[in-house]
Amino acid sequence: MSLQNAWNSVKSVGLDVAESLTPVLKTSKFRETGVLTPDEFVFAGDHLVSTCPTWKWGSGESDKLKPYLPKDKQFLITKSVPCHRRCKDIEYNNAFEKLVDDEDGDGGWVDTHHGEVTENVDAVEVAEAVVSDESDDEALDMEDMNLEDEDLVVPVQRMDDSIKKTRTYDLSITYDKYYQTPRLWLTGYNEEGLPLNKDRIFEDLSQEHANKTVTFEQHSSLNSQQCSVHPCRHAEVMKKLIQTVQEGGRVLEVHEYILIFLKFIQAVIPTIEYDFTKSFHL
Amino acid sequence: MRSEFKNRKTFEDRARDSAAIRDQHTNKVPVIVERSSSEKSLPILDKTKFLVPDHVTVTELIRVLRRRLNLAPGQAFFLLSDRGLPPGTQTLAELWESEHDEDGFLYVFYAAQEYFG
Repeated sequence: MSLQNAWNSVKSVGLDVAESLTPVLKTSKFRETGVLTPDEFVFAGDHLVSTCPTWKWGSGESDKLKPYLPKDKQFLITKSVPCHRRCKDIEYNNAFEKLVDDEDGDGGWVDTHHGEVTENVDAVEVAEAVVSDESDDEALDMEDMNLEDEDLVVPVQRMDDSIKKTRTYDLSITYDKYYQTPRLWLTGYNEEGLPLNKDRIFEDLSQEHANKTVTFEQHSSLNSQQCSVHPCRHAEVMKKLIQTVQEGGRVLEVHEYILIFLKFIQAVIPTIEYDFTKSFHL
Repeated sequence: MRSEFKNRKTFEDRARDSAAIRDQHTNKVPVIVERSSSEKSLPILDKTKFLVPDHVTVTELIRVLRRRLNLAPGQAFFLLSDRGLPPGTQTLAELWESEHDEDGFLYVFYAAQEYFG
């Protein structure tokens, strides 16, 4: 555990005490300060559940019920979210960058992936999956399986779904009474469905944030240790986002809060493919 | 959001420019990247026109731009498109399809602040 991590944990214990002493926020302040009342959390959560049906409300452990939230709406959860790539796989190598057509008066084009071999990602992944299948699955004998010819023609999509295994994550969002913002928790499973340890989970966190903003703590509604994105600056970011969007001529409504929250959280977990709707626009 | 690039060049020039580059690079998307008018803390990019493979996602483009701006870890960076904050998993092809300008370019703007802690 790094020093930063240790400090975050200490801070969290102290804040548990502080949280119990913080009065529940009653009046809306989200535009001014980026914070939410519990009622607004429920309102925004309802909107998330209706626009992204993979998210559901949960009630959690009965001894952890928060009195300021409805019993059946204690936190939001989405399960088995795929995570195909590790963060290091999407690191950008600017050696491929090339300036083209640089005498066009605009300073030219930055070709971000110059000379990149156009690859069919699906084909590559399927090929890998098939290879590994051959190497470690000796029991698979085509003749024994008595397949009809047409069964052998498996559409790529189906192969992808049935053979390629990936890590998955369960994500949940609680209301943090002290910071008065949503708080994200995650717990992961490997390709075999077994829980990932801390070091493995760190591979799926953006390195810029991994040791700074992510802590391992007791989930506030469930009986498990989970990885959590520390909410101490969420309100500030939300406020800034609300302002930026407003300056662009749009007004954010409070029901959109969690969708926007999920968008900025993506900077921390860029490869976990959770749903916040592709069609969502501000 | 207001684009300096749009102000600087006529529609005809822009349309010709985007058509020409798409002709040469059929699997790449022409993107105009500019600093949001409200953004004061981030530096201005030295280049405006980007040619990005269509399978590259918004998250990956953000990495390209962060690197170009030499941003310190922890410095936040948001990419705004015409209609809002595009999802990080969306590919540039998808984003271009749904939000490209009539001149054939996709316009995106960046803004930031220090965040998380």
